[in-house]
Amino acid sequence: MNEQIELPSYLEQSPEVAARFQRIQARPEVLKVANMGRVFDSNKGPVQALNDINFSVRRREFVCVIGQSGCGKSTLIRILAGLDQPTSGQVLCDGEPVTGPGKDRGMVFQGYTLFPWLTVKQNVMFGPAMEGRKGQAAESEALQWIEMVGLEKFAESYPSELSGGMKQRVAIARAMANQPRILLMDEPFGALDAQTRAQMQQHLLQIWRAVDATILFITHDLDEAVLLADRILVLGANPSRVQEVIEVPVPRPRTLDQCLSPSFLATKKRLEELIHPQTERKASFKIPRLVAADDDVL
Amino acid sequence: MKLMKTMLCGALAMGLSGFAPADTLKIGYSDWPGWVAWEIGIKKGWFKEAGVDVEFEWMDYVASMEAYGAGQIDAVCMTNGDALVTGATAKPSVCIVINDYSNGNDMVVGQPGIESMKDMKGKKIALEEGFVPHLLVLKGLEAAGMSESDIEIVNTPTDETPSVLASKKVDAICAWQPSSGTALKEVEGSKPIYTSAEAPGLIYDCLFVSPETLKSNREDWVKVAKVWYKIVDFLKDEDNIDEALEILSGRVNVKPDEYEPFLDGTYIMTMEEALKVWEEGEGLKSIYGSTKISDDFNVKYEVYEKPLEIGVYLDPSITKEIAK
Amino acid sequence: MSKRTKPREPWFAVGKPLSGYQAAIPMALSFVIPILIWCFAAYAPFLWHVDYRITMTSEPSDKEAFPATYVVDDTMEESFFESFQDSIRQDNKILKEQREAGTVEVASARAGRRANQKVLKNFEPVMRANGWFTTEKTEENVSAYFKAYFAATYETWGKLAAGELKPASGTLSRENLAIVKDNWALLSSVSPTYDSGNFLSEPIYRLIPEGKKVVGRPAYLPAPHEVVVRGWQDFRGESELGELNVWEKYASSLRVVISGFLLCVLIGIPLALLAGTFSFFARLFEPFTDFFRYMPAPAFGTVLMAIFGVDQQPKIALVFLGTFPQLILMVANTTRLLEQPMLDAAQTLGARKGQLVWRVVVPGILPSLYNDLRILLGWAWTWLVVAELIGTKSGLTEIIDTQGRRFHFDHVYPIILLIGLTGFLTDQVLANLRDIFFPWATEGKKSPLARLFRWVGSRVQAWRDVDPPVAPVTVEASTEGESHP
Repeated sequence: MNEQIELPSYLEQSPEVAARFQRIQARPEVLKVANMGRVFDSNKGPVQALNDINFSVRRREFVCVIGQSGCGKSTLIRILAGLDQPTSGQVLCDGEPVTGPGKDRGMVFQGYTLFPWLTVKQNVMFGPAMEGRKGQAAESEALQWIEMVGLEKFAESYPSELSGGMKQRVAIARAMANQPRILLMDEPFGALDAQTRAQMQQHLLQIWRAVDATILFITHDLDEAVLLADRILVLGANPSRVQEVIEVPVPRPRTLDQCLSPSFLATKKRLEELIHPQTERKASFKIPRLVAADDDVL
Repeated sequence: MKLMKTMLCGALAMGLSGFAPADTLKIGYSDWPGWVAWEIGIKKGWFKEAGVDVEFEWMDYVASMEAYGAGQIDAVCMTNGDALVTGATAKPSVCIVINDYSNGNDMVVGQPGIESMKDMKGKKIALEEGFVPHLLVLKGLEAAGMSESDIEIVNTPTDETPSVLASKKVDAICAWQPSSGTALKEVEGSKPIYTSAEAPGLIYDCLFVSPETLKSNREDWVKVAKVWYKIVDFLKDEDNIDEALEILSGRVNVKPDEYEPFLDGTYIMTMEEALKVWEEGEGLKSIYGSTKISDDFNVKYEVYEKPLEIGVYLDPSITKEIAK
Repeated sequence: MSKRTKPREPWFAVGKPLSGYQAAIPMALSFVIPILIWCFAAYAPFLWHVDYRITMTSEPSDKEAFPATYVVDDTMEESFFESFQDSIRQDNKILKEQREAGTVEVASARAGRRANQKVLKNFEPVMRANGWFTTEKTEENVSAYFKAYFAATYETWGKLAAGELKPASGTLSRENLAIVKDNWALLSSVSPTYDSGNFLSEPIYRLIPEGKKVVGRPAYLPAPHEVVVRGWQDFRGESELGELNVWEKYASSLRVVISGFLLCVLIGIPLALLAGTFSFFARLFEPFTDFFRYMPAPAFGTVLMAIFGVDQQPKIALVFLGTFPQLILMVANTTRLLEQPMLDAAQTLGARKGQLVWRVVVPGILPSLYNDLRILLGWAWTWLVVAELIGTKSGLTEIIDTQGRRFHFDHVYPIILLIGLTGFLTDQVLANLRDIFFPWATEGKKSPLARLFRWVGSRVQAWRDVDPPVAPVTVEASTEGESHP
């Protein structure tokens, strides 16, 4: 690949995109992470998993977090959810320090975490029921969310009767039913096949546009990040810190067609450079040759 | 959830429902023919008739003594020798009724080829250590001029002795009917080599009651004893023999015809005969003499350490009172 | 050959389930094979010798050689049976000689009369085989029954002696008919009808035992048909051993097992849930429980009797003691197996500690808990026999223990089978009910029972349903590629 297509800089923003970022900047911060770090104890002594993480997510913003596997993405989102505690710094949600899990931060997990003993509707109603909200009103509200994820036919089905994509859609509806300030998504489509994943991405974008939702989305899929995000946080490894924050120059509304647009590819290229540095991109394996050199099967 | 609750309550109720009213006298009895005879009084409702509230608990012999020792029953059917053992190790008791003496039902059964106690020299015998069969074997050895060191004892619950004999792992067993009968039948060619008929009076089978209940419920025990002699009268009547056999054999689920010989091996005593046995004296004709011999045996063979005060274990007053 | 419509399904494919009739056949075989082995062992004549089953018994005077009492249906080896017959012939010969010499001894009038009554009683199989006496013995009529029997036999002997009656062929040997005639001459000399007060005390001749050849098997291996017949009789209360009260004892055994088990559930499950949920309680309960479960529960038999008496309570307590530690450890472990992400999810949805336990942990483990309890109920059954030997011997164990010790295994096996069948069927029913209780936890094929139940449930649901409210927000949603599994 000596010849490269001429791409614009990923920093180049069209006027509409630039205006959009200005609007976002004006909105209040929903989530703020300040000087946050996390140290784990291991047999080989303390390991710094996250170090001095600083960023914020503004209202109705879609932020993706990307990084190599093992860079602490999951640790980060667990801390944001309150399922884990930072060893330094703090996390603020609407200005209030986070001390534990709470309904203001909804979460969709990578694995399937629907309650198998509850129907789709009951699953969606779980959050409200924890606050004692039951009955007709709660039920019709739940049905709205189910409809939003397109599963109204399956309201009375049990999770075991649903496919993987459908399960994740229910999980989104369940998290949204609590009307969280921010929706944390931990590689929610990681286990899905490519086709289903593409559908889910579109679906998520539609939902995000239709409701007042702020989303922090973790992924290791570069296309996914560029397709979904307003901003992409790139986490570096060892110890993990925010390497760069990229404002995605691809205009909205986004469709799959944009995957080949120059701004998309430019952003993706930059991500490639950050995630897989030059040295790593060259094949460094020595492979023994098992066919004769003049074998021209190829 | 409601169903669950109901079920659990039911379980508790079931668990607790076994408690009998406190004033019911509980008597443990086991498969010795002389004690199975109580069944006639039970089946015919004579205890109720006599106005006494008793509950007979059907148990294994040793289990019944354990239950008595643990204070769970008021009275237990034991031999005079075993009463001493139970008294020395767990809880003393008082004999108020002498049911019978063993007249052949306790026996040492030898494998085919073993003809007498003398043939047992250096051989194995299965029996329940420290209880009646042990005593009988020691007596048999003594009669043959031998001692315990001449044989090897394999401690075995009495009702398991037939299986042990059939397995050919021992050369003889000592048991009472119906176990001894089963052994004789299962091992063709086996025969009794020593029986209690050769030492009548060595084993008296009696009703022993706890000293406390004798003090507090003496009237009731008098009534129980009266019922016993009604049973004896019934048994002694020739015309009742088949009916009695039905009741007795039914209790232990043996065929009546098989049961009949057991009655010959158990000499059930009339009141007159019992009163004679109640007279203090030496030797096996008196229960005092017999018990003294058991006591000596027990001390000699270290079943317990010191001789017991035999008089405490025997109370002829109730039998004498009825006899008047 | 017809064309295959379905691909050929191999019988032996690694890791693949069998389908339909292919699954049914090995299932049936799993029961048939043990039964066939049993039949083979019991009926194959070359494995065993020939025995005689006594059809008419007698009592030899030679107690040295025949110390036991043999009754109808007892079996003995051929040579032993022959010596049994010869011994009676010898007795009769001696008696005849004494009678001719006028030196017949009578030990006591009472014993003599009883011995003669026994000879009359031994004749019963002949009376029954010929229909000469048909009265059945019950608990109420015992006394009258025997009087009637003796009278009938008296009359029959008289007629046989006079040649007025003839036994059906094979029911009475010529030899015994001659003995009957001789005996009638003796008996009728005292009284022509039966009168217990006026009955001969001088010995009459004994009947020669009769028997038929059967396959001789060890006592522990009764033939299947014998076990079936005995079981049928015992369960219907028609045992020749007297009333065994099988159903009463069965109820008593069930009470012990179920009470012990429910008590265990009542106390154990809350503790196990605590241990499974909170590490503190796991550390508090489990080490001791783990230690305790290695102590053999039966060893506490006497202690339990000392505490709880001799009736049902110590037995229930033993079942409890044997099952409880298993329950704690098993259920605590099951509780811990609940997936952590499920708890995380619930927490992010706003569930607090109590809600986590009641709304997530408990419903989440219920199906596994249900399975655990099925296994534990099996445990409870295994303690039954040991438990029922404490204090008063009770329940089915009384029959198993008593009859087993007497080598009446033909009476023991039906009871053991009854216990096995009870456990097996209970488990099958509970396994089926699982699909009804936990429709959401069923993987693959549902049991027919559960399918029926679900269908009824869905009908009721459809009838009850109102139209769902219309949502204000509409989003295009695609379900392509996500068909119903």
